[in-house]
Amino acid sequence: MTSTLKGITLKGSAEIVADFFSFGINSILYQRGIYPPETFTRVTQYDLSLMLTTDANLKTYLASVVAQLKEWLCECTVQKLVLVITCLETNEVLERWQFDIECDKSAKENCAPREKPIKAIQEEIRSVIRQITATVTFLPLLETACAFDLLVYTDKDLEVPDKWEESGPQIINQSEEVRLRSFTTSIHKVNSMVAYKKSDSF
Amino acid sequence: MEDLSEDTMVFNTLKSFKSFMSRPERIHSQPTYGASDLGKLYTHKMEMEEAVKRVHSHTSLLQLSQEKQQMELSHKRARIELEKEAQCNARDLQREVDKNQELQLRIGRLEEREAETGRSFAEREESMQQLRKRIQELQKQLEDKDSTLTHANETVTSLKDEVRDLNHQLQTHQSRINTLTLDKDSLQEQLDLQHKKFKDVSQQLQTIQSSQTANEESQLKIRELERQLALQEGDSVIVRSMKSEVARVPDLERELKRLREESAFLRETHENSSLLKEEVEGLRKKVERMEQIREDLLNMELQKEKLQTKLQAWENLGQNTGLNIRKPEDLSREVIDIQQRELSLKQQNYTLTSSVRGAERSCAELRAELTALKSKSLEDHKRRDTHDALVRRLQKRVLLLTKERDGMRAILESYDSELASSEYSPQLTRRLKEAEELLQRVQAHSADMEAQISKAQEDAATFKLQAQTAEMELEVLKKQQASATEGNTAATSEEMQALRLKVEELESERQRLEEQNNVLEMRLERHNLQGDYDPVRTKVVHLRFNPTSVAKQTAPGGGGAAEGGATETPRAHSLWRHGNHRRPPQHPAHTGSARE
Repeated sequence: MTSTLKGITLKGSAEIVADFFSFGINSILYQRGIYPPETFTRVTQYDLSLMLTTDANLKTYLASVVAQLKEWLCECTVQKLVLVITCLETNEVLERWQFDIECDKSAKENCAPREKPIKAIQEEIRSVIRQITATVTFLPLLETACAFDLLVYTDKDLEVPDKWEESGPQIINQSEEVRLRSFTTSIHKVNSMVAYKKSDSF
Repeated sequence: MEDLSEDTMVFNTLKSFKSFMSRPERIHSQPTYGASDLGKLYTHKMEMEEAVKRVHSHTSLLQLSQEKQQMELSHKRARIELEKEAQCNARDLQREVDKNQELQLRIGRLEEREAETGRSFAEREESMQQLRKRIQELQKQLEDKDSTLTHANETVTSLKDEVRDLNHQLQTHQSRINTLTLDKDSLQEQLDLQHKKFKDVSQQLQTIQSSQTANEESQLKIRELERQLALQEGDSVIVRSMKSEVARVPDLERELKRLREESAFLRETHENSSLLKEEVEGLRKKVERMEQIREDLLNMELQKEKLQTKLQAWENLGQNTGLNIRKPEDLSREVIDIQQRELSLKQQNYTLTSSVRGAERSCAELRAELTALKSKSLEDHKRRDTHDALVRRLQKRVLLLTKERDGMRAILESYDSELASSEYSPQLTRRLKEAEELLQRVQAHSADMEAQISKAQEDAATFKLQAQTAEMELEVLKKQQASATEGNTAATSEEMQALRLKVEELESERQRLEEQNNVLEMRLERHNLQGDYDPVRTKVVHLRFNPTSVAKQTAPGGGGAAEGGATETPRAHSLWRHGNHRRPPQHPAHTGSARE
């Protein structure tokens, strides 16, 4: 983390947000049971004990995505990051964890750093992650074999890098949406929400 | 006959004349004298001959004339006779013609008769033919009748045969009837026997009926007796019961005690029951409250449904309105357009009001000009009147002066005539000169006056022209003013109203659009929440080798996770391994927060 006590630069903000995404995605994967819990290890971050994956493939995948995302965050070309959980049997989208990113495009790399204490940002991030864990109480059970994918909504004029390709939005048919808390680094603002498929039994 | 006599007369005269004529020739032939006498004779002869010729011609002429007269007469007679004959002939001809006509008529009548007779003949022939036909028909009928007669004879013979057969049958029937009558007689005898039996039976029945009535009477008596017996039994039962009751009195006293105890117990229970009733009432109230709550709940549900329908209507509003508003930007654009229109309308309004003010100002100016022109025209009128009066006076004076001048001239002429012969006296000449001078002066004065009059007239004419032009201008201005005021007021008021209406409409439209905007924003947010995006500005990318794609690639292969080399679907594996293992064993975040 390059953020200093004095203030937050664009690069620092991007790093904070990318870290949040890394931990957030890990905890969602753990909470929703997409990967077996024995493949996770406990880490303390944001004064919270969080779970991080030990799966090498997943680690590399997440690292590559987060690195790319950090770049785009610095360019302010990313609009959304979406974690899509799909049923492997039916190819049906069951959950969508959506993180809307509002970039302050006036903030340039050489600009003066914004004055927001890092502790306050961490406090906000902590509340968001807590909410993510709390959502397990109302989200429907995932009873089938599921897999996840990370979609990034970017500006149209962005050049798609190698290994990346364009995709559909993968919208849930008949969904319920729950808005979660948001946090801001005063350069990037992240609004989080979860949409899940309405189960027929309800 | 007369004619014939006349003719004879003529012939007689002719004979005498011829005889006379023949004589002179003998006379002339006898004297044969010398030469001188010859000449004389010759001339005499000649003369005689001439005379003879003359007489002869005369007589021939007479004869011819007589002949002519006779011829004429005869001609006349012949003509008359001819005419008579012609008339007779014509009469005969007419008679014959009449006769002919009559004959022709007769012929026609006869022909008609002939035709009629021919017709009647033909009719008769036809009737004859008809009669023949009838005769033939009658003959035919006769033949038919003959044939029918023969048939009838045949049938008669056949019928006679039948009659014979029938007679035979009749005889057989009669024989049968005889046998049947015999049977009948035997049966009647039997019937009589039966009748007798019936009479006996009826007598027996009567006796039985009488015995039945007697039986019924005896039964009634038996019932009465039974009733009396029952009454006696009832009396005996009453007596027995009275006895038993008398015996039961101590038992009853005991029962009374028991009943008293029971009544006390019942009173207690009654109190309890009242308490219970109160409780029941309380419960009832509770139930009523519950029902009310339920009703409220139902109402709430209804309201909820209504609100849902409303919400749907709002959601559908965008489609219904037909506005192509999909994004808040479109809406804001439209709002901006409307505001711009409003601004333009306001500007128009301002310009119109300013123009109205200008028109009013010009109107006021025109009014002031009008009043000035009116006063001017009045002054001109006055001047003209004074000038006219002056002109009249001057004309009068001119007339008087001309008269004076004429009078003076007459005086001078009279002086001249008086003093023509005598010498001119110096006095007179002087006076004359004076008079002439006076005259000249008067003339000059009159000329001046005339010039002044003409000038005044000219002035008057110019003034008149000016007045007319001023009036014209005034009228024009009035018209302009009227039109301007009318047009301006009407136009401005109408425009103002129209603009107000427009402004109101725009306001309402703005409000509507605002509402639509809100609805659309809500929908947009919802869509946004669901993950929708604007494909014009945004695109969605993901890593080609993401866990889902890898899992999909490996899944159909069956346990090809190691072969794929990428992240497999461990959840599936864990599901297979752990059966119903759903959730992680603990929630570290919770624990963390708890620790905090």
